[in-house]
Amino acid sequence: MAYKFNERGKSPIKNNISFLLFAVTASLLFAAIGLQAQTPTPTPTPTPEPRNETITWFGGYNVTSSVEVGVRGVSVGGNDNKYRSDFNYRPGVRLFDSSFLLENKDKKSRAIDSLLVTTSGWNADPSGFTRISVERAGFYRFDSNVRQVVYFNNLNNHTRNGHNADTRHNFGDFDLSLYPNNDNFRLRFGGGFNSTKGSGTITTRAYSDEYPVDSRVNNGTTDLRAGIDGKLLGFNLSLSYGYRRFKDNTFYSTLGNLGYNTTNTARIATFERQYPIKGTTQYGLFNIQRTFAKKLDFTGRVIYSSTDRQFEFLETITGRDNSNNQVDLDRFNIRGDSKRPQTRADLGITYAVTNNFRISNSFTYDSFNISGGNAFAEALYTRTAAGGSRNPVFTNNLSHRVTDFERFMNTIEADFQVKDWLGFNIGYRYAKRKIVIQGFNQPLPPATNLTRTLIEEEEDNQTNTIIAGMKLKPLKNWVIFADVESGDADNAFTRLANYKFTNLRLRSRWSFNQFAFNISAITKDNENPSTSTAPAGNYPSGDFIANTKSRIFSAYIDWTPISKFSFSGGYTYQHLTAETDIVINTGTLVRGFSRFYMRDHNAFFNFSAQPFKRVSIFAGYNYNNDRGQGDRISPAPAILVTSYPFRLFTAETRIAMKLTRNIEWNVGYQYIGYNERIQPLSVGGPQDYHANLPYTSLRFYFGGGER
Amino acid sequence: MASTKTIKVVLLGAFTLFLAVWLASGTYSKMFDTGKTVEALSVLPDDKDKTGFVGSETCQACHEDAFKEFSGTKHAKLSELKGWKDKVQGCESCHGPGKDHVEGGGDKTKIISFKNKNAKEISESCLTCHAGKESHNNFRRGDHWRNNVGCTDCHTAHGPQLASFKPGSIITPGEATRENPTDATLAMLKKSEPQLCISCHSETKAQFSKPFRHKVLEGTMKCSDCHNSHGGFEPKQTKLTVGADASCVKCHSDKQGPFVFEHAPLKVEGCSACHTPHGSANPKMLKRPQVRQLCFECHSGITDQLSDGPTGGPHSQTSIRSQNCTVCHSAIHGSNTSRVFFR
Repeated sequence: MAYKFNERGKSPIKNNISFLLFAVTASLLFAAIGLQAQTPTPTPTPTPEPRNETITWFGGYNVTSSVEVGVRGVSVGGNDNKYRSDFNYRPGVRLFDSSFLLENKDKKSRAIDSLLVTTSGWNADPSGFTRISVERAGFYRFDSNVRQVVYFNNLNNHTRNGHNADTRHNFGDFDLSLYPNNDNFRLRFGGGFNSTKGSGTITTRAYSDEYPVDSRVNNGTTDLRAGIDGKLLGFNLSLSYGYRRFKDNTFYSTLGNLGYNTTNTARIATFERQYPIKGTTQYGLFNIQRTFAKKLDFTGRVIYSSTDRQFEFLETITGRDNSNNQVDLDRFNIRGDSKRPQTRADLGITYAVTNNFRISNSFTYDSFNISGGNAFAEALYTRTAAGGSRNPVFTNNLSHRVTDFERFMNTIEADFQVKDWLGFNIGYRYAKRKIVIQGFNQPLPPATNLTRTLIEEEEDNQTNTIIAGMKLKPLKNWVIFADVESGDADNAFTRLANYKFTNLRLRSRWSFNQFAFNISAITKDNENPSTSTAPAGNYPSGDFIANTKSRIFSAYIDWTPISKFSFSGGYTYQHLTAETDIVINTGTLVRGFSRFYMRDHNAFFNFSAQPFKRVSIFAGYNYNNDRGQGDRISPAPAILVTSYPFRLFTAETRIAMKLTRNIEWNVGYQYIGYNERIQPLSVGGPQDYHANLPYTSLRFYFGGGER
Repeated sequence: MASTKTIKVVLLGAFTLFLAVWLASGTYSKMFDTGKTVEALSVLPDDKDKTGFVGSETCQACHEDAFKEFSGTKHAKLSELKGWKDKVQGCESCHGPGKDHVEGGGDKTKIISFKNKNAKEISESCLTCHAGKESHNNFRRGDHWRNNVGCTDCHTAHGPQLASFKPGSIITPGEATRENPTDATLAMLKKSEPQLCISCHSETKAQFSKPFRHKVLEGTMKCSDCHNSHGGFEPKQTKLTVGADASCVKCHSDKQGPFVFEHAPLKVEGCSACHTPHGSANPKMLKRPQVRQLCFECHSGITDQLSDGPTGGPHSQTSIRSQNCTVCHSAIHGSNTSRVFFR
């Protein structure tokens, strides 16, 4: 087997060290087991469970904790880029699923009544988190959530392998609540951050060709928020204020780039783009709620937010254009700004006519205005292919756009609990939406025609939707849910008519003792009639539709007959067909179709058992097989048939052995296999791979609490 | 249009005014302070005074296990808080006064039991105290309520009965256990996220197992990062962030705009117009593997988009060049510099 760890410059020595580290650790642990096994034991070893002793620190705190640290090895055969894009588990030390809980069991409150730290995945995993919750009952509560995602994307079947990334996204949230259990007065303070850094590629277009260019990604945000909650005249009130600052200083460059079309004359010798963006968002949020006499529940919310951003775009290109002229300098200098104030108001009312019959109404008003403009300046200095002089070309213009959006939506529904075993609901949603787009493009000197082109587009629509559902409990442990939603979706923009949709969900949950069996079926039918456009010239006439039909069937079982054995498994089938009318040029323009098929089967099981007091085992398997279009082939040039057939399966096994009462040794192995069929738009062969991921770890237990 | 400075002044002014009104109104007045007690008692069938209460220790005599579980929960901690001293605490805050039940030798008809109540009745009892928090305000109008999924379908008022730790998958953090507590332990959930949600929404397990996915099974994200299980005004009970933005831009801040040239679906339809947020086999979690198919589904009827002449043009689908739409239209989320999203 060819071991292939990382083709992005990491030394194989480092990878070998990781494997060596893994091997040494595993050997040491085996040795430890062996030594332990050989040590004469004068008395029987105490049964390692149950672990319900109490560790008391500082007089009155209980500690319950388990921390697992280990090391993983990785070998990948096949397409490492696809493996890294899908999973990206790396070799090295890893912090497994771990937690630490400190609880004050005294009646008397202390500075810390509870502290919980949970963490997983750091270092050798593509994602990791650390969450901390600290609380003193009645006085404060602090929550933090710090996460990291290492994002890798390098794929043959997307944008000609031109939109890649190898970035690290760090983000976190911190929230402090004072007097969290006080209904009359609570204070909230919070903050957060986002930071994405790394490298990537993006495509740019110049001289009738497209070029992948490198990017040095650097963007992020800082958030601050504060709020106050309280009770006034019987109303629960909440007022929040938030502030976000964001920036993007991503830098783009490339050298000696022939572009995707290597046969034409266009090419880039040098390319640099500086595109700093910065902006802020400020928002205020007000909430009000009251329940009157346990009959009428009333909730209102108003949000006002305003976002503004400023940018400066400076791009310089040298090379050759598609007429073989030498481009000495093509400089773009574009500046501008944009803003988006948004107002949103919501009102919800529920009236309990009887204990079993309620009527609810939810009203939403949403309005935003996006306005932005730029001043565009391009200076193009070229010479002929032979070096002869050409006049420089200067292009200057102004552009401005305003998008006004306004929507009212009202949903009225009633739910009726006929019997304890039967309830149903029915509702109606009405929405009215208006969108107006205005703007202009204004050429500036040295252009001779300075006519301003005005843009104005307006779309109104009204949608109606019916909602209905029921819950049936034929047996004490068997519940059936069903609901349907049918009507017009209020989510299509100006160029298309509303989606007509029907969504149906059916779920059944049956549980008996330690056995649970769920099945569900979800169907979604979307029909987009599209607005027909007047045929021009040789274009085919008539409506152009886009239809999507999706069927999902899922079954799931969970069985834990005894505490030492558990099994869960499931199967999900997704059947999706999308078809859209298009125009295809086959010499003449003809009406055609583009059809997409997904026939995806997913099955999994997880199994764990404790065959011996000291030994536990786990096995898991996940299989995904999308058969895509199957045997369907395009019957004519004007009909495009697309899909993405692939198989992905992961298998995993793990053995845990208790070395002592508080230490557990784990060894495991994971296998990932992936196969795909070459895609029509792929620039390479199949991106198949398989990966072997052995690992070993130690889990340390502290305490156990008195639960 | 109001300037940023004006907005700041208005928001800060409103904030200060609210604080002043609250302080001046004496919300610590007895009338509202005892309101909680009255509401809590209102779940009782008849008796609305406190004479029938016997205290949780009395309940312990017969319900030892339930008492032990309950005593470790946040609910039990309330008795230590100054603001709850005069209110009904412990078992009887939900089950009502126990005097008749005790004197009746444990007569089940003389105590409030939730075993045979439907989900809405149980939830109404919980909402007596838990309504009023911003995140819970729409529970009565949410999808879970509508489908009769109540508070105790996910939470356990007596505290979770956790199993012992078992080894599980290396890549997915396991459920909360006695030895390995998680957020679920503090939130009194029956199981940890996402296992709890998946136990009903089983199809999402398959979605989160796709090659491209949000790291929910891996624990880095939780269902509740994007959805509010307690209801909301948004479709699919998604959360808003940074004011009225979709929850996606909390992390994907570079897509939040506003742009000079907006790609309409971004703000109007939302990210899920093109992406499948749970998971997908397609790069970038797109709905379709080939970008062109995705674009066609909106841009199908535009006669000047797919070909600009009988001899072919920049959008002729017979050329690989124009089959990957976002190679040219690379700033597809919106652009400040190109009205056709070239840069």
